[in-house]
Amino acid sequence: MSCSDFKNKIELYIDNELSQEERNQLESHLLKCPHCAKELTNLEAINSIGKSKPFGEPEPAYWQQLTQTIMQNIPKPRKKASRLKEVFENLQGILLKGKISYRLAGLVATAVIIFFIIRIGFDDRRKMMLPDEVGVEDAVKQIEKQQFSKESEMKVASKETIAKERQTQQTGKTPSTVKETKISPKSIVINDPKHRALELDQPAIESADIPIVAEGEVRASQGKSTSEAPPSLSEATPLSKKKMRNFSIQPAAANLDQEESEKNQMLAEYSRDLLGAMKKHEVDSSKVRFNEAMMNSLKENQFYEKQKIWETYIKTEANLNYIKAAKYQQALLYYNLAKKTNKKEDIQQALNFYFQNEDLLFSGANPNSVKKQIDELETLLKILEKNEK
Amino acid sequence: MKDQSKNKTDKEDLKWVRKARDGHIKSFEKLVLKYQKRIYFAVRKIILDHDDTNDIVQDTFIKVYSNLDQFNEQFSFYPWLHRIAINTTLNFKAKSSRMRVFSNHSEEDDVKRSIQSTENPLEEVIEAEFKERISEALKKLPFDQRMVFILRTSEDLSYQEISEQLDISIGTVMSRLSRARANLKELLLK
Repeated sequence: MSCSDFKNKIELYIDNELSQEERNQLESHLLKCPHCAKELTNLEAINSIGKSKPFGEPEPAYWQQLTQTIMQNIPKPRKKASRLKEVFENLQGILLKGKISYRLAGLVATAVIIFFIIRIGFDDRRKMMLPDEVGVEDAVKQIEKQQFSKESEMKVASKETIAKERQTQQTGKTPSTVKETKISPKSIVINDPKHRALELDQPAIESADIPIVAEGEVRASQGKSTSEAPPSLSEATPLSKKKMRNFSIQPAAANLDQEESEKNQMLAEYSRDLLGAMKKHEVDSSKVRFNEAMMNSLKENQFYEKQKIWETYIKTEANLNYIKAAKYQQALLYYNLAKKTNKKEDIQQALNFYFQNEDLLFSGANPNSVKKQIDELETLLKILEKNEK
Repeated sequence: MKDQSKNKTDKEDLKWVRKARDGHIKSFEKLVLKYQKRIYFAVRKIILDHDDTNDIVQDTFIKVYSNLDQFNEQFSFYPWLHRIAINTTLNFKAKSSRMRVFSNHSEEDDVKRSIQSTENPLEEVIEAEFKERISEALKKLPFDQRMVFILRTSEDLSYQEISEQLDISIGTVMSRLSRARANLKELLLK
Protein backbone atom coordinates (compact mmCIF):
# COMPACT_ATOMS: atom_id res chain seq x y z
CA MET A 1 0.00 0.00 0.00
CA SER A 2 1.21 3.49 -0.82
CA CYS A 3 1.49 6.38 1.60
CA SER A 4 -1.60 8.05 0.15
CA ASP A 5 -3.60 4.86 0.76
CA PHE A 6 -2.55 4.93 4.40
CA LYS A 7 -3.30 8.63 4.65
CA ASN A 8 -6.87 8.00 3.51
CA LYS A 9 -7.28 5.51 6.33
CA ILE A 10 -6.14 7.79 9.13
CA GLU A 11 -9.60 9.26 9.65
CA LEU A 12 -11.11 5.79 9.80
CA TYR A 13 -8.39 4.88 12.27
CA ILE A 14 -9.17 7.66 14.73
CA ASP A 15 -12.87 6.91 14.35
CA ASN A 16 -12.30 3.21 15.22
CA GLU A 17 -13.73 2.09 11.91
CA LEU A 18 -10.80 -0.09 10.80
CA SER A 19 -10.47 -3.82 11.28
CA GLN A 20 -7.74 -5.05 13.61
CA GLU A 21 -5.57 -6.10 10.68
CA GLU A 22 -5.90 -2.68 9.03
CA ARG A 23 -5.11 -0.97 12.32
CA ASN A 24 -1.94 -3.01 12.72
CA GLN A 25 -0.82 -2.17 9.18
CA LEU A 26 -1.45 1.52 9.66
CA GLU A 27 0.30 1.63 13.02
CA SER A 28 3.37 0.00 11.49
CA HIS A 29 3.34 2.59 8.74
CA LEU A 30 2.96 5.47 11.19
CA LEU A 31 6.14 4.42 12.93
CA LYS A 32 8.05 4.88 9.67
CA CYS A 33 6.26 7.82 8.06
CA PRO A 34 6.54 11.24 9.76
CA HIS A 35 4.07 12.85 7.32
CA CYS A 36 1.30 10.44 8.17
CA ALA A 37 2.18 10.65 11.85
CA LYS A 38 1.82 14.42 11.67
CA GLU A 39 -1.50 14.08 9.86
CA LEU A 40 -2.69 11.83 12.68
CA THR A 41 -1.66 14.39 15.28
CA ASN A 42 -3.48 17.16 13.41
CA LEU A 43 -6.64 15.11 13.11
CA GLU A 44 -6.56 14.23 16.78
CA ALA A 45 -6.27 17.91 17.61
CA ILE A 46 -9.26 18.70 15.41
CA ASN A 47 -11.19 15.90 17.07
CA SER A 48 -10.51 17.34 20.48
CA ILE A 49 -12.50 20.42 19.43
CA GLY A 50 -15.58 18.26 19.42
CA LYS A 51 -14.88 17.07 22.93
CA SER A 52 -14.28 20.57 24.26
CA LYS A 53 -16.92 23.01 25.45
CA PRO A 54 -16.22 26.20 23.52
CA PHE A 55 -18.66 28.14 25.67
CA GLY A 56 -19.04 28.70 29.38
CA GLU A 57 -21.49 26.83 31.55
CA PRO A 58 -24.76 28.51 32.42
CA GLU A 59 -25.18 29.64 36.02
CA PRO A 60 -26.27 27.02 38.58
CA ALA A 61 -29.66 28.69 38.96
CA TYR A 62 -30.35 27.97 35.28
CA TRP A 63 -30.46 24.20 35.86
CA GLN A 64 -33.05 24.50 38.61
CA GLN A 65 -35.13 26.75 36.40
CA LEU A 66 -34.84 24.33 33.49
CA THR A 67 -36.03 21.40 35.59
CA GLN A 68 -38.91 23.46 36.91
CA THR A 69 -40.00 24.55 33.44
CA ILE A 70 -39.87 21.00 32.11
CA MET A 71 -41.90 19.61 35.02
CA GLN A 72 -44.49 22.35 34.68
CA ASN A 73 -44.96 21.61 30.99
CA ILE A 74 -45.18 17.85 30.95
CA PRO A 75 -48.69 16.41 30.48
CA LYS A 76 -50.63 15.48 33.60
CA PRO A 77 -49.89 12.06 35.09
CA ARG A 78 -51.75 9.04 33.81
CA LYS A 79 -54.06 8.29 36.75
CA LYS A 80 -56.33 6.28 34.50
CA ALA A 81 -53.57 3.83 33.72
CA SER A 82 -52.71 3.35 37.37
CA ARG A 83 -56.34 2.84 38.26
CA LEU A 84 -56.70 0.28 35.54
CA LYS A 85 -53.51 -1.30 36.73
CA GLU A 86 -54.93 -1.57 40.23
CA VAL A 87 -58.01 -3.28 38.87
CA PHE A 88 -55.88 -5.77 36.97
CA GLU A 89 -53.64 -6.36 39.94
CA ASN A 90 -56.69 -7.12 42.08
CA LEU A 91 -58.05 -9.44 39.42
CA GLN A 92 -54.70 -11.12 39.19
CA GLY A 93 -54.73 -11.65 42.96
CA ILE A 94 -58.19 -13.24 42.82
CA LEU A 95 -57.27 -15.48 39.91
CA LEU A 96 -54.10 -16.78 41.48
CA LYS A 97 -54.96 -16.95 45.14
CA GLY A 98 -58.73 -16.78 45.62
CA LYS A 99 -61.26 -19.57 46.04
CA ILE A 100 -62.29 -21.48 42.95
CA SER A 101 -65.62 -19.71 42.64
CA TYR A 102 -63.89 -16.36 42.94
CA ARG A 103 -61.33 -17.44 40.34
CA LEU A 104 -64.03 -18.35 37.87
CA ALA A 105 -65.77 -15.06 38.48
CA GLY A 106 -62.42 -13.31 38.03
CA LEU A 107 -61.83 -15.05 34.69
CA VAL A 108 -65.22 -14.04 33.39
CA ALA A 109 -64.72 -10.46 34.58
CA THR A 110 -61.31 -10.30 32.87
CA ALA A 111 -62.76 -11.57 29.59
CA VAL A 112 -65.57 -9.01 29.71
CA ILE A 113 -63.18 -6.14 30.48
CA ILE A 114 -60.84 -7.11 27.64
CA PHE A 115 -63.77 -7.29 25.23
CA PHE A 116 -64.96 -3.81 26.12
CA ILE A 117 -61.47 -2.32 26.01
CA ILE A 118 -60.98 -3.60 22.50
CA ARG A 119 -64.41 -2.36 21.48
CA ILE A 120 -63.91 1.08 23.04
CA GLY A 121 -60.45 1.39 21.53
CA PHE A 122 -61.82 0.71 18.07
CA ASP A 123 -64.68 3.19 18.51
CA ASP A 124 -62.36 5.85 19.94
CA ARG A 125 -60.12 5.48 16.96
CA ARG A 126 -62.97 6.03 14.61
CA LYS A 127 -64.25 9.00 16.61
CA MET A 128 -60.81 10.58 16.73
CA MET A 129 -60.51 10.50 12.99
CA LEU A 130 -61.69 13.53 11.12
CA PRO A 131 -64.74 12.99 8.93
CA ASP A 132 -62.62 13.36 5.82
CA GLU A 133 -60.09 10.85 7.16
CA VAL A 134 -62.93 8.42 7.78
CA GLY A 135 -64.18 9.18 4.30
CA VAL A 136 -60.73 8.68 2.86
CA GLU A 137 -60.23 5.49 4.84
CA ASP A 138 -63.56 4.21 3.59
CA ALA A 139 -62.63 5.27 0.08
CA VAL A 140 -59.33 3.43 0.26
CA LYS A 141 -61.09 0.35 1.61
CA GLN A 142 -63.60 0.55 -1.20
CA ILE A 143 -60.88 0.86 -3.81
CA GLU A 144 -59.03 -2.09 -2.30
CA LYS A 145 -62.24 -4.08 -2.06
CA GLN A 146 -63.15 -3.31 -5.63
CA GLN A 147 -59.65 -4.03 -6.81
CA PHE A 148 -59.72 -7.33 -4.97
CA SER A 149 -63.10 -8.16 -6.40
CA LYS A 150 -61.90 -7.11 -9.84
CA GLU A 151 -58.87 -9.35 -9.48
CA SER A 152 -60.95 -12.25 -8.25
CA GLU A 153 -63.47 -11.67 -11.04
CA MET A 154 -60.63 -11.62 -13.53
CA LYS A 155 -59.35 -14.86 -12.07
CA VAL A 156 -62.82 -16.33 -12.16
CA ALA A 157 -63.31 -14.96 -15.67
CA SER A 158 -60.03 -16.44 -16.82
CA LYS A 159 -60.90 -19.78 -15.24
CA GLU A 160 -64.31 -19.64 -16.84
CA THR A 161 -62.77 -18.70 -20.17
CA ILE A 162 -60.39 -21.63 -19.95
CA ALA A 163 -63.21 -23.92 -18.93
CA LYS A 164 -65.38 -22.65 -21.77
CA GLU A 165 -62.58 -23.03 -24.26
CA ARG A 166 -62.22 -26.61 -23.21
CA GLN A 167 -65.96 -27.01 -23.48
CA THR A 168 -65.88 -25.49 -26.96
CA GLN A 169 -63.13 -27.83 -27.96
CA GLN A 170 -65.04 -30.75 -26.60
CA THR A 171 -68.53 -29.90 -27.81
CA GLY A 172 -67.84 -27.52 -30.72
CA LYS A 173 -70.29 -24.95 -29.31
CA THR A 174 -69.31 -21.37 -28.32
CA PRO A 175 -70.54 -20.51 -24.80
CA SER A 176 -71.87 -17.07 -23.81
CA THR A 177 -69.20 -14.51 -22.99
CA VAL A 178 -68.39 -13.52 -19.43
CA LYS A 179 -69.84 -10.24 -18.35
CA GLU A 180 -67.02 -7.93 -17.31
CA THR A 181 -67.49 -5.80 -14.29
CA LYS A 182 -66.29 -2.26 -14.66
CA ILE A 183 -65.10 -0.42 -11.66
CA SER A 184 -66.57 3.00 -11.54
CA PRO A 185 -64.69 5.42 -9.38
CA LYS A 186 -67.89 7.36 -9.06
CA SER A 187 -69.04 4.73 -6.64
CA ILE A 188 -66.21 5.89 -4.43
CA VAL A 189 -66.89 8.65 -1.94
CA ILE A 190 -66.24 11.60 -4.26
CA ASN A 191 -69.96 12.22 -4.61
CA ASP A 192 -70.59 11.70 -0.95
CA PRO A 193 -71.48 15.11 0.51
CA LYS A 194 -69.63 14.16 3.66
CA HIS A 195 -66.41 13.81 1.76
CA ARG A 196 -64.37 16.91 2.38
CA ALA A 197 -61.64 16.49 -0.18
CA LEU A 198 -62.47 19.87 -1.69
CA GLU A 199 -61.81 21.53 1.57
CA LEU A 200 -58.47 19.86 1.86
CA ASP A 201 -55.73 22.03 0.59
CA GLN A 202 -53.95 19.43 -1.47
CA PRO A 203 -53.78 17.75 -4.82
CA ALA A 204 -55.62 14.72 -3.49
CA ILE A 205 -54.13 12.34 -5.99
CA GLU A 206 -51.76 9.71 -4.79
CA SER A 207 -49.80 7.14 -6.62
CA ALA A 208 -48.01 4.21 -5.06
CA ASP A 209 -44.96 4.53 -7.23
CA ILE A 210 -44.94 8.28 -7.51
CA PRO A 211 -45.16 9.79 -4.05
CA ILE A 212 -46.59 13.25 -4.46
CA VAL A 213 -46.48 16.36 -2.39
CA ALA A 214 -48.56 15.71 0.73
CA GLU A 215 -51.03 18.15 2.18
CA GLY A 216 -48.69 19.98 4.51
CA GLU A 217 -45.98 20.12 1.90
CA VAL A 218 -48.22 21.66 -0.76
CA ARG A 219 -49.52 24.16 1.74
CA ALA A 220 -45.98 25.16 2.55
CA SER A 221 -45.04 25.29 -1.10
CA GLN A 222 -47.96 27.54 -1.78
CA GLY A 223 -46.60 29.94 0.79
CA LYS A 224 -49.98 30.19 2.47
CA SER A 225 -50.01 31.79 5.91
CA THR A 226 -47.23 29.76 7.39
CA SER A 227 -44.64 31.17 9.65
CA GLU A 228 -42.07 29.01 8.00
CA ALA A 229 -39.96 30.39 5.22
CA PRO A 230 -38.66 27.84 2.79
CA PRO A 231 -35.14 26.74 3.71
CA SER A 232 -32.53 28.94 2.10
CA LEU A 233 -30.00 27.45 -0.26
CA SER A 234 -27.21 28.21 2.16
CA GLU A 235 -28.83 25.92 4.72
CA ALA A 236 -29.23 23.10 2.20
CA THR A 237 -26.24 20.92 1.52
CA PRO A 238 -24.35 22.48 -1.36
CA LEU A 239 -24.21 20.06 -4.27
CA SER A 240 -20.96 19.25 -5.88
CA LYS A 241 -21.18 20.48 -9.45
CA LYS A 242 -17.98 18.64 -10.25
CA LYS A 243 -20.03 15.49 -10.16
CA MET A 244 -22.34 16.78 -12.86
CA ARG A 245 -21.82 14.99 -16.12
CA ASN A 246 -23.50 16.07 -19.31
CA PHE A 247 -25.75 13.61 -20.93
CA SER A 248 -27.48 14.23 -24.18
CA ILE A 249 -29.14 10.81 -24.21
CA GLN A 250 -32.95 10.88 -24.22
CA PRO A 251 -34.51 9.47 -21.10
CA ALA A 252 -34.92 5.73 -21.50
CA ALA A 253 -38.54 4.70 -21.90
CA ALA A 254 -39.61 2.52 -18.98
CA ASN A 255 -42.77 0.50 -18.83
CA LEU A 256 -44.55 0.24 -15.52
CA ASP A 257 -45.73 -3.10 -14.36
CA GLN A 258 -49.26 -4.06 -15.38
CA GLU A 259 -50.53 -3.93 -11.80
CA GLU A 260 -49.07 -0.49 -11.16
CA SER A 261 -50.54 0.90 -14.36
CA GLU A 262 -53.98 -0.45 -13.44
CA LYS A 263 -53.75 1.19 -10.05
CA ASN A 264 -52.69 4.45 -11.65
CA GLN A 265 -55.60 4.26 -14.07
CA MET A 266 -57.99 3.96 -11.18
CA LEU A 267 -56.39 6.85 -9.35
CA ALA A 268 -56.47 8.92 -12.52
CA GLU A 269 -60.18 8.29 -12.87
CA TYR A 270 -60.73 9.15 -9.23
CA SER A 271 -58.82 12.36 -9.62
CA ARG A 272 -60.80 13.24 -12.74
CA ASP A 273 -63.92 13.46 -10.64
CA LEU A 274 -62.10 15.50 -8.05
CA LEU A 275 -60.83 17.80 -10.77
CA GLY A 276 -64.34 18.30 -12.10
CA ALA A 277 -65.52 19.24 -8.67
CA MET A 278 -62.59 21.63 -8.20
CA LYS A 279 -63.34 23.38 -11.49
CA LYS A 280 -66.96 23.63 -10.54
CA HIS A 281 -66.08 25.28 -7.27
CA GLU A 282 -63.52 27.57 -8.96
CA VAL A 283 -60.62 26.45 -6.89
CA ASP A 284 -57.32 28.19 -7.65
CA SER A 285 -56.53 27.64 -11.33
CA SER A 286 -52.87 26.77 -10.72
CA LYS A 287 -53.95 23.98 -8.43
CA VAL A 288 -56.44 22.76 -11.00
CA ARG A 289 -53.78 22.75 -13.73
CA PHE A 290 -51.32 20.97 -11.45
CA ASN A 291 -53.83 18.25 -10.66
CA GLU A 292 -54.67 17.96 -14.32
CA ALA A 293 -51.00 17.41 -15.12
CA MET A 294 -50.74 14.85 -12.32
CA MET A 295 -53.79 13.03 -13.59
CA ASN A 296 -52.44 12.91 -17.13
CA SER A 297 -49.05 11.77 -15.89
CA LEU A 298 -50.67 8.94 -13.95
CA LYS A 299 -52.49 7.77 -17.05
CA GLU A 300 -49.24 7.41 -18.96
CA ASN A 301 -47.05 4.36 -18.69
CA GLN A 302 -44.04 5.69 -20.52
CA PHE A 303 -41.38 7.57 -18.57
CA TYR A 304 -40.68 9.85 -21.51
CA GLU A 305 -44.35 10.72 -21.95
CA LYS A 306 -44.74 11.54 -18.27
CA GLN A 307 -41.74 13.85 -18.40
CA LYS A 308 -43.18 15.60 -21.44
CA ILE A 309 -46.43 16.23 -19.60
CA TRP A 310 -44.62 17.89 -16.72
CA GLU A 311 -42.43 19.94 -19.07
CA THR A 312 -45.49 21.19 -20.90
CA TYR A 313 -47.20 22.05 -17.64
CA ILE A 314 -44.17 23.93 -16.33
CA LYS A 315 -43.96 26.04 -19.49
CA THR A 316 -47.55 27.19 -19.04
CA GLU A 317 -47.41 27.77 -15.28
CA ALA A 318 -46.64 31.14 -13.74
CA ASN A 319 -46.97 30.22 -10.08
CA LEU A 320 -43.45 29.49 -8.83
CA ASN A 321 -44.56 27.21 -6.01
CA TYR A 322 -46.40 24.96 -8.41
CA ILE A 323 -43.43 24.95 -10.76
CA LYS A 324 -41.32 23.75 -7.86
CA ALA A 325 -43.84 21.01 -7.07
CA ALA A 326 -43.82 19.93 -10.71
CA LYS A 327 -40.01 19.85 -10.78
CA TYR A 328 -40.12 17.63 -7.73
CA GLN A 329 -42.49 15.26 -9.53
CA GLN A 330 -40.06 15.16 -12.44
CA ALA A 331 -37.17 14.48 -10.09
CA LEU A 332 -39.13 11.60 -8.57
CA LEU A 333 -39.64 10.09 -12.01
CA TYR A 334 -35.88 10.12 -12.62
CA TYR A 335 -35.23 8.83 -9.12
CA ASN A 336 -37.74 5.97 -9.43
CA LEU A 337 -36.38 5.00 -12.83
CA ALA A 338 -32.81 4.92 -11.51
CA LYS A 339 -33.84 2.83 -8.51
CA LYS A 340 -35.77 0.47 -10.70
CA THR A 341 -33.11 -0.15 -13.33
CA ASN A 342 -30.03 0.31 -11.13
CA LYS A 343 -28.15 1.32 -14.27
CA LYS A 344 -25.26 3.73 -14.07
CA GLU A 345 -26.52 5.93 -16.91
CA ASP A 346 -29.97 6.26 -15.32
CA ILE A 347 -28.47 7.16 -11.95
CA GLN A 348 -26.18 9.75 -13.54
CA GLN A 349 -29.07 11.13 -15.51
CA ALA A 350 -31.12 11.45 -12.34
CA LEU A 351 -28.29 13.20 -10.52
CA ASN A 352 -27.83 15.55 -13.49
CA PHE A 353 -31.46 16.51 -13.22
CA TYR A 354 -31.12 17.21 -9.51
CA PHE A 355 -27.99 19.32 -10.01
CA GLN A 356 -29.48 21.27 -12.92
CA ASN A 357 -32.58 22.10 -10.90
CA GLU A 358 -31.11 22.36 -7.43
CA ASP A 359 -32.35 25.92 -6.92
CA LEU A 360 -35.96 24.99 -7.46
CA LEU A 361 -35.79 21.62 -5.71
CA PHE A 362 -34.08 22.82 -2.55
CA SER A 363 -36.31 25.85 -2.21
CA GLY A 364 -39.44 23.75 -2.68
CA ALA A 365 -41.47 21.91 -0.11
CA ASN A 366 -39.31 18.81 0.11
CA PRO A 367 -35.66 19.81 0.60
CA ASN A 368 -35.03 16.98 3.04
CA SER A 369 -36.47 14.37 0.71
CA VAL A 370 -34.43 15.81 -2.15
CA LYS A 371 -31.27 15.58 -0.06
CA LYS A 372 -32.10 12.02 0.91
CA GLN A 373 -32.72 11.01 -2.70
CA ILE A 374 -29.45 12.57 -3.86
CA ASP A 375 -27.53 10.82 -1.09
CA GLU A 376 -29.08 7.51 -2.05
CA LEU A 377 -28.27 7.93 -5.73
CA GLU A 378 -24.71 9.01 -5.00
CA THR A 379 -24.20 5.97 -2.80
CA LEU A 380 -25.64 3.68 -5.47
CA LEU A 381 -23.37 5.21 -8.06
CA LYS A 382 -20.31 4.76 -5.87
CA ILE A 383 -21.17 1.12 -5.33
CA LEU A 384 -21.64 0.54 -9.06
CA GLU A 385 -18.37 2.31 -9.89
CA LYS A 386 -16.57 0.32 -7.24
CA ASN A 387 -17.92 -2.93 -8.62
CA GLU A 388 -16.78 -1.94 -12.11
CA LYS A 389 -13.24 -1.54 -10.85
CA MET B 1 -16.17 -2.63 36.38
CA LYS B 2 -17.45 -0.38 33.64
CA ASP B 3 -20.13 -2.92 32.74
CA GLN B 4 -21.21 -3.19 36.36
CA SER B 5 -21.66 0.55 36.76
CA LYS B 6 -23.44 0.69 33.39
CA ASN B 7 -25.83 -2.04 34.51
CA LYS B 8 -26.44 -0.21 37.76
CA THR B 9 -27.26 2.97 35.83
CA ASP B 10 -29.58 1.09 33.49
CA LYS B 11 -31.42 -0.55 36.39
CA GLU B 12 -31.84 2.76 38.16
CA ASP B 13 -33.11 4.46 35.00
CA LEU B 14 -35.51 1.61 34.33
CA LYS B 15 -36.91 1.83 37.83
CA TRP B 16 -37.63 5.53 37.39
CA VAL B 17 -39.06 5.04 33.91
CA ARG B 18 -41.48 2.42 35.17
CA LYS B 19 -42.59 4.60 38.05
CA ALA B 20 -42.97 7.60 35.77
CA ARG B 21 -45.17 5.50 33.47
CA ASP B 22 -47.37 4.81 36.46
CA GLY B 23 -47.80 8.51 37.01
CA HIS B 24 -45.09 9.18 39.60
CA ILE B 25 -43.88 12.55 38.42
CA LYS B 26 -41.06 12.73 40.94
CA SER B 27 -39.43 9.74 39.28
CA PHE B 28 -39.43 11.53 35.97
CA GLU B 29 -37.97 14.57 37.65
CA LYS B 30 -35.06 12.39 38.80
CA LEU B 31 -34.39 11.43 35.20
CA VAL B 32 -34.51 15.09 34.17
CA LEU B 33 -32.07 16.09 36.91
CA LYS B 34 -29.75 13.26 35.98
CA TYR B 35 -29.57 13.91 32.24
CA GLN B 36 -30.52 17.51 31.54
CA LYS B 37 -26.94 18.82 31.61
CA ARG B 38 -25.64 16.10 29.36
CA ILE B 39 -28.42 16.66 26.85
CA TYR B 40 -27.97 20.43 27.10
CA PHE B 41 -24.30 20.26 26.16
CA ALA B 42 -24.87 17.68 23.43
CA VAL B 43 -27.42 19.97 21.80
CA ARG B 44 -25.54 23.20 22.52
CA LYS B 45 -22.46 22.00 20.66
CA ILE B 46 -24.62 21.48 17.59
CA ILE B 47 -26.94 24.45 17.83
CA LEU B 48 -24.46 26.76 19.60
CA ASP B 49 -27.14 29.25 20.71
CA HIS B 50 -28.17 29.04 24.37
CA ASP B 51 -31.80 30.08 23.93
CA ASP B 52 -32.42 27.63 21.10
CA THR B 53 -30.71 24.90 23.11
CA ASN B 54 -32.96 25.71 26.05
CA ASP B 55 -36.09 25.30 23.90
CA ILE B 56 -34.86 22.05 22.37
CA VAL B 57 -33.95 20.51 25.73
CA GLN B 58 -37.38 21.35 27.15
CA ASP B 59 -39.13 19.92 24.09
CA THR B 60 -36.98 16.81 24.30
CA PHE B 61 -37.94 15.96 27.85
CA ILE B 62 -41.59 16.72 27.22
CA LYS B 63 -41.54 14.36 24.24
CA VAL B 64 -39.75 11.74 26.29
CA TYR B 65 -42.40 11.90 28.98
CA SER B 66 -45.22 11.74 26.44
CA ASN B 67 -43.67 8.69 24.79
CA LEU B 68 -42.50 6.72 27.79
CA ASP B 69 -44.84 3.91 26.79
CA GLN B 70 -42.80 3.45 23.64
CA PHE B 71 -39.51 3.01 25.44
CA ASN B 72 -38.16 -0.51 24.95
CA GLU B 73 -36.93 -1.75 28.30
CA GLN B 74 -34.43 -4.07 26.67
CA PHE B 75 -32.25 -1.10 25.81
CA SER B 76 -30.60 1.66 27.83
CA PHE B 77 -32.51 4.83 28.52
CA TYR B 78 -29.87 7.43 27.65
CA PRO B 79 -29.36 6.43 23.98
CA TRP B 80 -33.13 6.63 23.49
CA LEU B 81 -33.24 10.03 25.17
CA HIS B 82 -30.29 11.19 23.08
CA ARG B 83 -31.94 10.06 19.88
CA ILE B 84 -35.05 12.07 20.71
CA ALA B 85 -32.86 15.09 21.47
CA ILE B 86 -31.12 14.85 18.11
CA ASN B 87 -34.41 14.42 16.23
CA THR B 88 -35.82 17.42 18.06
CA THR B 89 -32.72 19.39 17.10
CA LEU B 90 -33.11 18.41 13.46
CA ASN B 91 -36.78 19.32 13.45
CA PHE B 92 -36.00 22.61 15.11
CA LYS B 93 -33.40 23.43 12.53
CA ALA B 94 -35.67 22.46 9.65
CA LYS B 95 -38.55 24.56 10.89
CA SER B 96 -36.62 27.48 12.26
CA SER B 97 -37.12 30.53 10.11
CA ARG B 98 -37.94 32.98 12.80
CA MET B 99 -35.99 36.21 13.16
CA ARG B 100 -33.18 35.95 15.65
CA VAL B 101 -34.51 37.62 18.78
CA PHE B 102 -31.94 39.58 20.68
CA SER B 103 -30.98 37.29 23.50
CA ASN B 104 -30.49 38.42 27.06
CA HIS B 105 -27.97 35.69 27.39
CA SER B 106 -24.66 36.68 25.99
CA GLU B 107 -22.10 34.10 25.05
CA GLU B 108 -19.44 36.57 26.02
CA ASP B 109 -20.89 36.41 29.53
CA ASP B 110 -20.30 32.65 29.49
CA VAL B 111 -16.67 33.22 28.61
CA LYS B 112 -16.19 36.04 31.13
CA ARG B 113 -17.76 33.95 33.87
CA SER B 114 -15.31 31.18 33.21
CA ILE B 115 -12.44 33.65 33.60
CA GLN B 116 -13.63 35.13 36.87
CA SER B 117 -13.98 31.79 38.56
CA THR B 118 -10.31 30.79 38.42
CA GLU B 119 -7.17 31.59 40.26
CA ASN B 120 -4.94 32.27 37.28
CA PRO B 121 -6.57 34.98 35.18
CA LEU B 122 -3.83 35.17 32.53
CA GLU B 123 -4.04 31.49 31.65
CA GLU B 124 -7.76 31.70 31.63
CA VAL B 125 -7.75 34.68 29.28
CA ILE B 126 -5.65 32.68 26.84
CA GLU B 127 -7.92 29.71 27.22
CA ALA B 128 -10.96 31.92 26.80
CA GLU B 129 -9.58 33.37 23.59
CA PHE B 130 -8.88 29.87 22.32
CA LYS B 131 -12.43 28.81 23.20
CA GLU B 132 -13.79 31.79 21.34
CA ARG B 133 -11.80 30.89 18.25
CA ILE B 134 -13.12 27.34 18.40
CA SER B 135 -16.64 28.61 18.91
CA GLU B 136 -16.32 30.90 15.89
CA ALA B 137 -14.90 28.07 13.78
CA LEU B 138 -17.77 25.76 14.75
CA LYS B 139 -20.30 28.47 13.94
CA LYS B 140 -18.87 28.78 10.46
CA LEU B 141 -19.23 25.09 9.76
CA PRO B 142 -22.38 24.22 7.80
CA PHE B 143 -25.00 22.74 10.10
CA ASP B 144 -24.93 19.28 8.48
CA GLN B 145 -21.17 19.01 8.88
CA ARG B 146 -21.24 20.29 12.45
CA MET B 147 -23.95 17.80 13.37
CA VAL B 148 -21.98 14.82 12.09
CA PHE B 149 -18.74 16.11 13.58
CA ILE B 150 -20.23 16.54 17.06
CA LEU B 151 -22.06 13.21 16.97
CA ARG B 152 -18.78 11.49 16.15
CA THR B 153 -16.28 13.32 18.32
CA SER B 154 -18.38 14.43 21.28
CA GLU B 155 -21.15 11.86 21.46
CA ASP B 156 -18.91 9.03 20.27
CA LEU B 157 -21.43 7.53 17.86
CA SER B 158 -20.14 5.16 15.18
CA TYR B 159 -20.63 5.84 11.46
CA GLN B 160 -23.46 3.30 11.45
CA GLU B 161 -25.19 4.93 14.41
CA ILE B 162 -24.87 8.39 12.89
CA SER B 163 -26.18 7.07 9.59
CA GLU B 164 -29.27 5.61 11.31
CA GLN B 165 -29.81 8.64 13.50
CA LEU B 166 -29.72 11.14 10.66
CA ASP B 167 -31.17 8.82 8.03
CA ILE B 168 -28.26 9.29 5.64
CA SER B 169 -25.89 6.84 4.01
CA ILE B 170 -22.58 5.91 5.63
CA GLY B 171 -20.83 7.40 2.61
CA THR B 172 -22.48 10.72 3.32
CA VAL B 173 -21.47 10.49 7.00
CA MET B 174 -17.84 9.97 6.01
CA SER B 175 -17.92 12.70 3.42
CA ARG B 176 -19.46 15.29 5.77
CA LEU B 177 -17.07 14.33 8.56
CA SER B 178 -14.08 14.66 6.29
CA ARG B 179 -15.22 18.05 5.02
CA ALA B 180 -15.93 19.24 8.57
CA ARG B 181 -12.42 18.37 9.67
CA ALA B 182 -10.85 19.98 6.61
CA ASN B 183 -12.90 23.14 7.13
CA LEU B 184 -12.07 23.35 10.82
CA LYS B 185 -8.41 22.92 10.08
CA GLU B 186 -8.53 25.73 7.55
CA LEU B 187 -10.52 28.03 9.84
CA LEU B 188 -8.28 27.51 12.83
CA LEU B 189 -5.06 27.93 10.91
CA LYS B 190 -6.10 31.35 9.61
